[in-house]
Amino acid sequence: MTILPLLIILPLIGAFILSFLPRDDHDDIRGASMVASIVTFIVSVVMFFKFQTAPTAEIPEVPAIQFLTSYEWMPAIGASIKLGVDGLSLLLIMLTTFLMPLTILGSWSSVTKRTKEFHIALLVLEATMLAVFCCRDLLLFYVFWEAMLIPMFLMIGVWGSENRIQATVKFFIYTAAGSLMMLAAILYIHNKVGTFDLDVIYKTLELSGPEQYWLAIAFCLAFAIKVPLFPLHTWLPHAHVQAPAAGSVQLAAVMLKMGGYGFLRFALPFFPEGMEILAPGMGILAVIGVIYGALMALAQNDLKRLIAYSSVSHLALVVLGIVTGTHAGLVGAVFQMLAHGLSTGGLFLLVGMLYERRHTRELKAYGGIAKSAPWLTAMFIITTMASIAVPGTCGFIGEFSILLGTFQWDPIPDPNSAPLGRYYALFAASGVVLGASYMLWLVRRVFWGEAKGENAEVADLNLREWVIMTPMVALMLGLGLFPGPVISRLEVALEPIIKAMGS
Amino acid sequence: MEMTDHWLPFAIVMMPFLGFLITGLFGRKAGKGFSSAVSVGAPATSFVFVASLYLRYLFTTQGEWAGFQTALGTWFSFGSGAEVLDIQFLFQIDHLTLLMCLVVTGVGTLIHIYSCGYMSDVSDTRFARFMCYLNLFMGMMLILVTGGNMLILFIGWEGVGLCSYLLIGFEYEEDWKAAAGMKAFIVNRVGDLAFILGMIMVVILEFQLNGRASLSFDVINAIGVQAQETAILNHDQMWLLGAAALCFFIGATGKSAQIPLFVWLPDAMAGPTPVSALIHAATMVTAGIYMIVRISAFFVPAVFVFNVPFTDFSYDIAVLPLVATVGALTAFLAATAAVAQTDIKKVLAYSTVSQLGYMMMGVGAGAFSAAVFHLMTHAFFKALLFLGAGAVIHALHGEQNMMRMGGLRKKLPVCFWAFMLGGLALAGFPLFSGFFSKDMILFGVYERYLASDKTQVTWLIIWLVGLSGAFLTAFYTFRMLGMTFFGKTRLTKDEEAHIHKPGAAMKFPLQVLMVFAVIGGFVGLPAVTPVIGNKGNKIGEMLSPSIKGKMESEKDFQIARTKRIRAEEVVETEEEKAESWHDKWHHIHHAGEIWSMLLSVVLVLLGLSLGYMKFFTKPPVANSGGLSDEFFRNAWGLDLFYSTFVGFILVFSVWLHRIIDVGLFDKSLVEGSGRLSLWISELVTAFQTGKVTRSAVYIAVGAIALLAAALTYAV
Repeated sequence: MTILPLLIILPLIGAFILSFLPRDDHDDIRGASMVASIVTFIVSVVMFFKFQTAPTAEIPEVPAIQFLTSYEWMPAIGASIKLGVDGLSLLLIMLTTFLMPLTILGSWSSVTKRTKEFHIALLVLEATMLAVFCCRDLLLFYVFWEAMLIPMFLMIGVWGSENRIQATVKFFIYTAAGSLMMLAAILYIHNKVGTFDLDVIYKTLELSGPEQYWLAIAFCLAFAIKVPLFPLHTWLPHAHVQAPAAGSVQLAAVMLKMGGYGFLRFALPFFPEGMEILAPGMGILAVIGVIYGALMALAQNDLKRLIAYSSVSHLALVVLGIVTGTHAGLVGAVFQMLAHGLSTGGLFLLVGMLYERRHTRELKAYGGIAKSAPWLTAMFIITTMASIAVPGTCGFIGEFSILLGTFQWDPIPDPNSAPLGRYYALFAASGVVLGASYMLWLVRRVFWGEAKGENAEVADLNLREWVIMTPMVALMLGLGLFPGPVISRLEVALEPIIKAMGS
Repeated sequence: MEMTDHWLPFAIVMMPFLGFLITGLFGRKAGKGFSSAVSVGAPATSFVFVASLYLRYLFTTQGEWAGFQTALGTWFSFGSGAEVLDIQFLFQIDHLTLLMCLVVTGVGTLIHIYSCGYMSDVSDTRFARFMCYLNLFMGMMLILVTGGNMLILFIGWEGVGLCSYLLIGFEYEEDWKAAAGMKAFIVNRVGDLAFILGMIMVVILEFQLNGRASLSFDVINAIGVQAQETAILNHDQMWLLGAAALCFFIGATGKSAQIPLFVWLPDAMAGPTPVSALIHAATMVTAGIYMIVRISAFFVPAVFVFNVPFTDFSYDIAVLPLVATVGALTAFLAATAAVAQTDIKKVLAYSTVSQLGYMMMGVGAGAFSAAVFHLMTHAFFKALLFLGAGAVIHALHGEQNMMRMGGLRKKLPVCFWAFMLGGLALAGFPLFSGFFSKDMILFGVYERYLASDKTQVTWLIIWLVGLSGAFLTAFYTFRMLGMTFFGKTRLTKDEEAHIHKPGAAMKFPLQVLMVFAVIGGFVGLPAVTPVIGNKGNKIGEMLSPSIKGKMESEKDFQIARTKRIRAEEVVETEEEKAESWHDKWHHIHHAGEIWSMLLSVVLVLLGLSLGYMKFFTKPPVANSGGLSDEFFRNAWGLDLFYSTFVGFILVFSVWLHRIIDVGLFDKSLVEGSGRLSLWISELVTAFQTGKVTRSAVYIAVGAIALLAAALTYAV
């Protein structure tokens, strides 16, 4: 099986071909990049269906990790190019490959300077992100984890808005600084086990209590910055506001998920005891994050900054689900990651469309768009509903499961009192009200009211934008109504994590 | 149970969705005729399906038609071992659902027809948008009443909320209307938050008891029955049960506009009048009552134990009595507010809040079928009143202020009769539909008092509050009627000449609803009716298989509660055991019912005559603007309190952003750490002068220091 190397290399091949195209043929460049991303998506769809979920005659036991591929890299230090996916990786890969063609379509007419470099950056970004999800080797993982910062750094820094340099530097240094702690922890683990092979580490890693505690802190710091968890979130609004629409989409929809992925893939199974000690505190930070992010979103006058803060709130809920370590909490967290990718990705795409029409992010400049662009409004409202987790859309199942898991959770077991997790759930649930408040207020300020000036002549969705939004909306509803295939795949993947935590 | 039935719930629900899609996608191009046909046809088809089921129920031997359930596959499921969550797309049609479907599709179809006339002078695009929202609403409402578990119900529950949001803000160009829609959604979300927590608690209860959670009504009711009869639940499980019931009730206060969350409903009148009739009177707002009746067995034993944090104190709050108390207070408060309104739709809005309060009161008293009965009659007469009001507003080109009306009886006879008959039904005038249902509720409350051997004075107080509300209802009804249709007209000559009479599409629904508002009550005759006695209560008979909650006597309840919550045994004497509640039942029943009914009739007549004297002949007096007037007009200022709170949150969030997020975290800590490292590097740079002599000095100092350190450790 060599489908995984193919998946990662395809976007790179696309980027390579792009570099030979004449730089003024903008549409050729966009087209080529589009083709590369679509082919990648098709490969990932093939993979999705080839991924085994039920036992067959030949393979009676469903393997957790499939499509395993291994190449020699640095045998002297026990590092190899080992790729493989489980259900968790698979779903995040699907999210990435699904969103990339839509992102390219979304930036079709908004990016006109250095088009070639822009698309190369996008494709390289895709390749590195896919690689992060596939790695079964700790060192390789770290290499791609850092590598994916570079294209994003360029995208914000070159194609961003007025304060792009400051934002991109802050983004880069903040996340890289967090990652360095993780690098130190990775080296410590390597010292103990003698290899970077993830599957060997799972089996043989044995750490004392204090070791677990400190290493968990190092890993969690890197992931908490990436998520981002309150109070480590301040790089995110800057990056989102300054990034071009495509950058925002990728940042919100995929890159932030790396944090959640990291918790599930590394922090929880490596350091179950350390995480148990950290969990109550992280849970409190997550609950604060849910409320705090929502309050911040209420205070914003800038479209993109508002949605950026809504991400802080939504992803805090993901962290809460993860640290509970309960079955429902973990399932909900992963589902919420996917749902947030779709809904917030969709919101940023729509905001990009609005920006292309009105060239401003100021909420005050908008109003009454519903009159001139009814379908754009309809799409925005459906996406809003997914974002505020109305049942029947993708947001609901994740939110419900996370709250269920949190309610069951007992961070500090005490036989004489009810589980403390109930209080966490009570406060975290306030996001239900606050989320509706800031999103509907946003809708009111942008779409309702009387259309004045330029707002009265905003064009409705064009064909290209229909092509972007139709699959988005279809998937938001599809995932909300028929989540079965997704849940069955991720449950298989979560089983070993839960098992590792129980031991 | 026949297999052929199984596609029916699906078809009933899907019809309006189909109408929604077709009207929404093609209506703006295809014109009004097309939109009207499709959007009226869709709910009408559903109604035909429902009616066919009702006929089947009528013509099968009593007790044989048991309804049916259809599972259309799994929605979501996860977990293993003793914690499996398995949520099905479960739909069911039983007696209660059948009745709800009849009301929803019947009244709904009439209002769709009416809307075609009411919205006839807007553009094709707007018309199509309006009708497709209405269809979407019907679909969601039908999901709500046909759903077989809490989560399917919740899809409909939030779905109707979404439609309500879209329809209140239908004329979105006016910001206050968009704001009213937003307010409705957010206030409802407060209730939904509790609803979600309630569902979570039920899931955990199911995990602990059955190892498998489906949230289906059958299981939830079974848990309630277990708790009531066998008391196998432990302390924490009883807490969960009480808390979950309380949460569901809070959810109901949002959707069904009860204290403390009713504030959105008066604002919701910003929507076009057919919307007010359909969503904010006849169907959606009754969802909370429906939901509680649906899981009534779960509510019966529910006692919420509130442990005061950091102390050993705890309070027991029995949930159903709380429901009744809140209902009675809401009924009274909203009635006083209705008396002070001058906007005709606001009167009806507060009247709706008040009538929903009555239904809640009935539910809380365990008179579940009475509450559903009132839900039905209310759907008839309140839809009639709203549609009548809509016809008046339409005739007067958007005028809603009753101070500007008067004397319209001759000009708009159909509207007048709609108001007259609907008003009498609302006031509970003898033999009109509202009379029977309201009295059944009031007696249900009085019965609780009697059943407690007249020891529970709370029930007596609730009953009296309900009665005084009935007086106020009669008064504001005739006040509204007098101000609108009697006396001299207060319109200008020009306006009078341009009165726009309702067309056939608007008249027909009014006429049908008039019939039902008058005779609708005869399906639920009280037990004291001569000759037929108990057999007159057809609706109670129809609903009884669906209503799982069985009230116990107050004494049994107290004893059981002490056993369960406090884990103490209560010693019962032999006499107490022998003389059970059921033996006393027949003695108290008749006398009490007659008393309750007579008293309410007297109060209603009193209210009507007072209203007649003050408003039918004399011109209305303008509001003095005094403090008490303002106090009642603003429904005791609750809304003001909330808006102050929301304003505070907004100011707080801006402050939090500026001072904490930007000031503390971003500028001080994050950028500060950057500045710190720059400063350190500058400090270090200062040593790097490049002068050889300076470097030589550093080397010398370093060497000495190292030597000193080595010596110290060596020694």
